[in-house]
Amino acid sequence: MFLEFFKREIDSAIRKPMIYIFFFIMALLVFMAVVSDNVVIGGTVGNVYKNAPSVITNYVAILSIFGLLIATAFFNTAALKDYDNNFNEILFSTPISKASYFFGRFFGALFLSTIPLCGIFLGFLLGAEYGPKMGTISVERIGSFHAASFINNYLLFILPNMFFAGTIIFSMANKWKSTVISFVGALLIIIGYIVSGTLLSDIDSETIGALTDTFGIRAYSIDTKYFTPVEKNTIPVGFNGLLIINRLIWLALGVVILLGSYFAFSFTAKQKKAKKKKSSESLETKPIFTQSPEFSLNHSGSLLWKQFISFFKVNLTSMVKSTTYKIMFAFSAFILIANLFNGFEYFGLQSYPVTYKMMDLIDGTSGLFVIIILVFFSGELVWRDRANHINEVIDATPHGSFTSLLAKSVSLIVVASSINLFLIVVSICFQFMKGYSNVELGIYLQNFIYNSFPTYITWGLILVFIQVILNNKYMGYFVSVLVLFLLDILFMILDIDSKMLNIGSTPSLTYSDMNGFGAALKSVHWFNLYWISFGILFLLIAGLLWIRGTSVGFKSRLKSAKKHFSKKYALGLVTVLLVWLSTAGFVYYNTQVLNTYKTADEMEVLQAEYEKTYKKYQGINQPKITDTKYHIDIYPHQRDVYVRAIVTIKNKSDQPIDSLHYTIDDSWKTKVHLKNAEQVLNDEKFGYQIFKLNTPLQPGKSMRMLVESVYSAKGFENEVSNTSVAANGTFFNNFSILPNFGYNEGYELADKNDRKKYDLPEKDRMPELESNCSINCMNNYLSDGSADWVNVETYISTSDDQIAIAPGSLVKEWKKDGRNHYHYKVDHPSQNFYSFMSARYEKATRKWNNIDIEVYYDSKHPYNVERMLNAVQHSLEYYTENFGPYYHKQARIIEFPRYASFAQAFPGTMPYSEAIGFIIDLEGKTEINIVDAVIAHEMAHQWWAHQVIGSKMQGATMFSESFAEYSSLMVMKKATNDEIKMKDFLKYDLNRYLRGRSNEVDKELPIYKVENQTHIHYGKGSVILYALQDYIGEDRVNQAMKGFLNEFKYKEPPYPTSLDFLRHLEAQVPDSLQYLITDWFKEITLYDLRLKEATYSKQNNKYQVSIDIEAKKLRADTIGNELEQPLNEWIDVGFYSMYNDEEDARLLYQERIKIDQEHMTLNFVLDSLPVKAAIDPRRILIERVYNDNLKSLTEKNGEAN
Amino acid sequence: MATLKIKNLNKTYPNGVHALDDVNLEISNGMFGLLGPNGAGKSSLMRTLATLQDADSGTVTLNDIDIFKHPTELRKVLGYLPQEFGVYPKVSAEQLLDHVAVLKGVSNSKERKELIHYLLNKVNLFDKKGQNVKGFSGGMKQRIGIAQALIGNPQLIIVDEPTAGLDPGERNRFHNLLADVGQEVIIILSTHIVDDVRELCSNMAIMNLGKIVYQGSPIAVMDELKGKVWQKSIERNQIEEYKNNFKVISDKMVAGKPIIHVYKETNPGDGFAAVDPNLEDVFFTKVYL
Repeated sequence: MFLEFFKREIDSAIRKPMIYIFFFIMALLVFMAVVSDNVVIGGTVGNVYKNAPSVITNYVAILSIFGLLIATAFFNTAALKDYDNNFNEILFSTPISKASYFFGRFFGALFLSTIPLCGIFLGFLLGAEYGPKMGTISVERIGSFHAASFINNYLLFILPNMFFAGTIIFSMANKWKSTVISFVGALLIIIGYIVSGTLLSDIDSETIGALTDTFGIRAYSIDTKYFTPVEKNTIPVGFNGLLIINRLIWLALGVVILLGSYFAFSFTAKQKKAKKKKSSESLETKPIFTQSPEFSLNHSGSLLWKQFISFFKVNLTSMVKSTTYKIMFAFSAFILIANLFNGFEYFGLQSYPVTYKMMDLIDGTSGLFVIIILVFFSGELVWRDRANHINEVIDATPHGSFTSLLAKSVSLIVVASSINLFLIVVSICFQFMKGYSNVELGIYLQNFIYNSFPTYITWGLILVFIQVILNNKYMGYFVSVLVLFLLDILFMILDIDSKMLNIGSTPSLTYSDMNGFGAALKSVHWFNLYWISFGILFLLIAGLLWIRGTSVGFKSRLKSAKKHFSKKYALGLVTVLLVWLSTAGFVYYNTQVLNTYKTADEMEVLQAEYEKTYKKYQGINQPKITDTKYHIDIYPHQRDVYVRAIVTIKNKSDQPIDSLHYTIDDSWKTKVHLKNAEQVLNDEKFGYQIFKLNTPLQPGKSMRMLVESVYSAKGFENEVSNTSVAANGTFFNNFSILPNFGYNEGYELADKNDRKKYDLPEKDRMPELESNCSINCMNNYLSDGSADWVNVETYISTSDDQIAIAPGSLVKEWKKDGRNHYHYKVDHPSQNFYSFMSARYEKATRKWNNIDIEVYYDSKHPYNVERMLNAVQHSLEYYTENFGPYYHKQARIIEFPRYASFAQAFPGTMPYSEAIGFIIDLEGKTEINIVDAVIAHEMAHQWWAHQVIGSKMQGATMFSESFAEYSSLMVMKKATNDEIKMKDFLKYDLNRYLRGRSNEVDKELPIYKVENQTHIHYGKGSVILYALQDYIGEDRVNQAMKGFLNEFKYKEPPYPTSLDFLRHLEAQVPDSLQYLITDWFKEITLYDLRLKEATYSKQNNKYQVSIDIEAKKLRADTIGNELEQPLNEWIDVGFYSMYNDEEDARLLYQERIKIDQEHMTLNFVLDSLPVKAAIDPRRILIERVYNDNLKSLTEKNGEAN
Repeated sequence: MATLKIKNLNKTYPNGVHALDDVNLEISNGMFGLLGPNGAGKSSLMRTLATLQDADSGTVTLNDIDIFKHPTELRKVLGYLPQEFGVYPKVSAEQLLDHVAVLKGVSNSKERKELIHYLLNKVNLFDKKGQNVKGFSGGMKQRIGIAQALIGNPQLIIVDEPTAGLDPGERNRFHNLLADVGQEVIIILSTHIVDDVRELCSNMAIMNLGKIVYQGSPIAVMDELKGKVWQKSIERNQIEEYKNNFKVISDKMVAGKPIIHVYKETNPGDGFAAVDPNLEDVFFTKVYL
């Protein structure tokens, strides 16, 4: 009997096209993703195989979210088919068993819903087979298949995900007998998934995030987060780790839900509850009419308004009263609140709930819900009269169709807006709750009015138009979704960036506390006008083609349009058309003619051609800059900057130089003026220029050149191209305003596959490290040969409300012509890397040892200024004591708008984004934290990068970035003096390294050959340097760094390499630990440590503790193959007196033990009883799985045996 | 005195059905009945008159309004109760009528309220004005339907099959309502129920297969048949035989036995008895003979 129902379910489905269509879509999607790099499912693949086991699992997991919709269709049909066909009463009166019926249908639907997802496997098989044959991908990017990949993915993802989703959908369908409710069930599951995702944002709660994920995606990604490319290529997903726990949890929950539903299920049809009739005894006495009351009919203009209002009210009420609206409303609020309470985490700290963060959240949350509402209700409203069979009555009244359609659009817009506005109210309540009193209601409303509201208007009009024109509700939905989502993808494929073609799109508007809505606002206004008039135009057309009555066919619609096309209507249509056309013309002129831009593909072609044409000039002998005198005039409100720079260049080579080469950036208009020289090439396409000197520049000689550079904002743009020049918060550096000397390698295409596409040879990320370098060490990686150490002087002016800042000491400041003028001069020749800034700043200062510590900040962000001054001071204290003097007379932190969120070190100045640090809530936080850490890091660059800098080859960033990060950790360590706290900091760096190497696209190199990759120089660098100071002592590491610094600081080239540092380091490391330099710096070494057993017994008030450990040292090659190494290590073993979580852990005792065997038993005698034992208790070694390093102690019952 | 003139009206649907076949009618004030079997083209005609459907050719004018050229002008003086009259969910009777009243141009809200209360009172639903119309019974819904059709002093009121599915009580109430509207306007009542026309209309037309097969007063047409309709009670198995030998107008069961009506200029004898022709006889004669 069970089989009968099971088969019946399947039989009826395989006779319908749905299952094949879904299967085909899945296969096609995956096939496309395998054979093309443009189709991406859930993130790029990197350098693992296109059909690697990890890729298969990722696709399966992600697509099973979409599979949910398929599941909804099948389970809903299974549950409701008999009811929908009114077959239930016949069927249930037959003697069938409830269990067979219930479970037969359920498992039938379950089996069916897993079928389309198996299309993924077909997609992989076909893609792997035909991808190389079609020539779209190379054969090296296809690996071999593992049967386990298919079977395990089916058993671990497809089946359980469909099962769990099925239990919810099937139960809800059985209970409420409504398709809409079934889809609500599916929506609930997706929302649950999103909410659980918010738990993943911090690494401390990621385990909970992994287990609460319905689909198991996050559990898998955490299990494999440190996987190397080799592991990703070879290891199919298995029945282990967090994933299997996650699967069991959801399987169990599913079973409970299914059984609950089974017991609640009954064959006897439920009696529809009779609604209690409201006693609506009207209090009004019944009027007595003898004759019809007097009234007047009015068909003038004022009636139009009243008709509009009446339509509007009727539409609005119907939406507001609908379940869908209530659900969307509640869900969006729920998600916002979940996000708000999750907070604005930043490295374990919370940022203040500043308005722009709230607005970003509101826009992010409302987006999807509003789209659902707009699409769904556009269909509902357009079909409402017909669905309720009142269309003939309404159509026969003397109203204009446009009035009715406009009312539909407007009510849609109002309903969409209500969600957004409600979220604003929730956000403001949250701000108050958090004690944040700077509520900027005006900003919220402006953001709404400029950004969301016009979008709602455009879509509200267009979607109604689509529904009216297509005259089929489901076709209308289909086309609406296509237009909303597919247009983006289509334009991406066609490489069209213009926002004038992509319906409803406007330049992105980013609110910054410093710069408000910025330069994009003007453009957004014009685009809004453009799209709204476009929408109205189409609605006017829809008003004519709207079917009054029951006519069918396009012909009769045209006939009816003619009848209703009055003079007034024509006038309206022409007016709107003119408004739209003139706006379009104006927008086109501004975004395509006045301001041009290059699309991604155009840019690629240009890059490739540039390389092909001018690569021949790379490395030709060019002079270097020695002095620069800048004259900069900033007009922030016009967004204009005028630069005149007098640059002194010197031939530092031993050959005369007869011509000068430049590459000029096209966003700044840059002109080079040279005396006694002739321009022999001016390639405007690439900005390449060659000047021939009348008399060659002899070795050791200098000459001067004048550079004029202008940025001048004109009209408005398709997307703001230059955020560095802003009304408040200008921030640009010398590389934007000076031409690039010679051929610029930085313009070359970097991506391996892109290069192949344009027939360019493979390219190294960095020149190879050389141990004896002469010529190749003459350039440093930062200025790349354009300069060594330069003297800089700046005359800078800005508007009278702003302060302009250039590097160096302020020599003089004055006012002239209503503008502020400043003269700065750098006190010591420095790196040719300078920033120029201007904004309305507040300024906090402090003097420390004759150094001016200054913080320039926006008046809205005073919270952490005092701490920042402290942080700079602490850094200066530690660095001057341990590394050497600071050569500038000032250390400045300068805030800039959040168009970028980083901090950067220039000589003596550190621009620091408003998005980080300034708005972090440090109220009551006494201990040192990330805000201090970032400052300490940037301050450390004043030594590491600005006093000593690497030659342009592998390993160079080790002694700028790794040293800066290490220095910062040392400042932290000195301030906290708490080893466990340090573990908290280190885990971010360790995580960064392990995750980074897992996403390596090329090959991993040991740190002394780092190729400017953040996960290695920040992540690994700081972790091993920290461990090293733990092993050999802080003084010795600092001594090595100091010795290295003293040898090279502010020295003319040749520049040092990482080998120069290792030379200094080796001198500081005792012989017994020299192996660490090899293991950590010159190789890729990972540890795998385990604590197998931890027992104790009490003897004479002392505790005899015994632990069994297992240790492995692994050496990884560049693609992650690991090879076990012989053990001869010193590793810490420790005992915790308290350990509820990582936060409150307290080390009772630790000892560094020599470990030379894989399995060892160690014995200790302790005075008091620890709760946990650990190997590498402070987690200073690089190890992927740390959980197994800890164990609770158990009492040994040795005597009993 | 309003006059509705329909001239040479034709309509063929894309599926080939000739719904209106050269229809010519002239209708003036008073209740006009349009009688015809299902599928005769009544609703097509009604919808065309209500500007909800196009005709292929022909003209329709109400006084001096050409309804095809100026549909909006006609809609200003039109009251229409379609065959299928549905209502919005979750909307009360008063709200619904208010909405329609605004659309029809009753713009003063105070006057509108008074008018709606008057109409609700007239259709005897004043007590239920706050209740959702969706929950009303068929008869109540039809009364709301006629109330909305009466809004705005229409000169032309079209009611399409209003009594289908109503119980006899509701039907009577409905008829009284229509009769109350008075004789100053044109009311076109389309129906397949002969009694509706007999009870209400002074003028009528009979329609079949898109054609007007008769136009005139019910009395006159019955006079035409006087003395030509004969009735007989027969056995069930004899029906075929009688149909072959006589022009059988109708056969219906009375107390389990068929009674047939036949058309003959003279007495056929053979147990047939003379009977006064009723409108039903007229209907069947016009439609089927």
